[in-house]
Amino acid sequence: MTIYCQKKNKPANWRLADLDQLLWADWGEDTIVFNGLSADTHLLNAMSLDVLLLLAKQPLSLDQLITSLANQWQQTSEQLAKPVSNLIHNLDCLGLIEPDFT
Amino acid sequence: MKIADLTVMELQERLRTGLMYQIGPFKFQLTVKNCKTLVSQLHWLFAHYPTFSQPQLIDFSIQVKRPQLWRRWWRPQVEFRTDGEPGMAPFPLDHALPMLEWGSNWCIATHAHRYLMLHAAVVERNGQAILFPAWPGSGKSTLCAALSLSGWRMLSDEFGLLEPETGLLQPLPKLIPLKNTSIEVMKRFSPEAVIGPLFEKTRKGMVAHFRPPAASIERAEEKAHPRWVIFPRYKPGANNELILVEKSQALLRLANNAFNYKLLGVSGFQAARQLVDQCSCYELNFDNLRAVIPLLLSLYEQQPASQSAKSISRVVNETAG
Repeated sequence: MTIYCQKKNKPANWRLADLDQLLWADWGEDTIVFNGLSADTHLLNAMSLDVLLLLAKQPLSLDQLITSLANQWQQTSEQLAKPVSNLIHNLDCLGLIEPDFT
Repeated sequence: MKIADLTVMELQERLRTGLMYQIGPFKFQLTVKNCKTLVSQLHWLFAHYPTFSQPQLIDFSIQVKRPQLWRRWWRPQVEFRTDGEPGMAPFPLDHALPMLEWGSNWCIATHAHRYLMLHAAVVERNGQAILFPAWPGSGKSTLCAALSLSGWRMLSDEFGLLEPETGLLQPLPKLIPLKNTSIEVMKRFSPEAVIGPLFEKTRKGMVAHFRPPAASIERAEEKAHPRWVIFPRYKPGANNELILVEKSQALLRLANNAFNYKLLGVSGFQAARQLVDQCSCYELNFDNLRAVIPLLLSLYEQQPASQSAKSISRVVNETAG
């Protein structure tokens, strides 16, 4: 899945939909995030949490995300490309992240 | 004054013009017309509820009456109205009490949004409460009724009313609708159980109402601290055991179990998170009340420590910064 900037014709970055609207709960097991924009509650696995934490720092493209996670998890980018791409699609559908066209 | 202090004739007259009574934090004004059987059932089952004759600020004005015309003679029916508007489809006349109970639940579920309303039973002992969130068929009501006769104070059966500002549970000691086999179970459990008439072939099967003990109603203003969240599940052959539930899973289950969680938005999440944070969470698989009651008593006596939530919002915000 690749979303392109309309003007620059390059892959868009991804960012958190609205950091101020996300509320968290974590007791050392799975992490729960509540999205104040949709009033939905989500249970995050480790990869989802890491993606959201990376995007909380700064907007990143899909390729940048894959590279960062590959370094973090000591795996190859090829191994992570498909699962991260699917995850980004799902997080976008849930309204937790959005394309950053700026 | 309690409803029991009225004679049946006085109650009938009050119901004709509008009986004001209180259950937990809610004041009702109930008008009943041409339903003599319901009057005597209310005199018995609502006996301990406080009633007022002076004008009061009413939360719910509800009416139970028979429809006009030919329905008076052919399969007679009864209607539930709230503020004059139909609340639900008519019921057979002899099911007026279950209709009143479900109708008043509907009023609360659609209006009482100052609380996070969990579909849960609540009992309390020395200020510490167990919340039993569960969907129908779990044995929640039977368990709640049995505990209320075993040294626990019943706060509520249908609604776990959680105050977001204080984190306290508000009592709402309504009648407990026992269904199908649980009616016999409770009759056998204790001769002290006050159980109303049997209503067969209702929309939820056979129903009879358990009257909350007088002490539960008299102490309906005493809120309680939630201490345990226990998800009960009646299952024949179960081991009658408590299984620890991860707090994140408990929070998700509560979010899916509330009447108005999404409606409350952020405050609903914060209230549910705080609730889980201060409680130990378990699943209870049971098939025997006699085994479960000492199990819950030993849990109460042990009072296991609760682990607080890490503030991940701080972690995320620091990361973002």
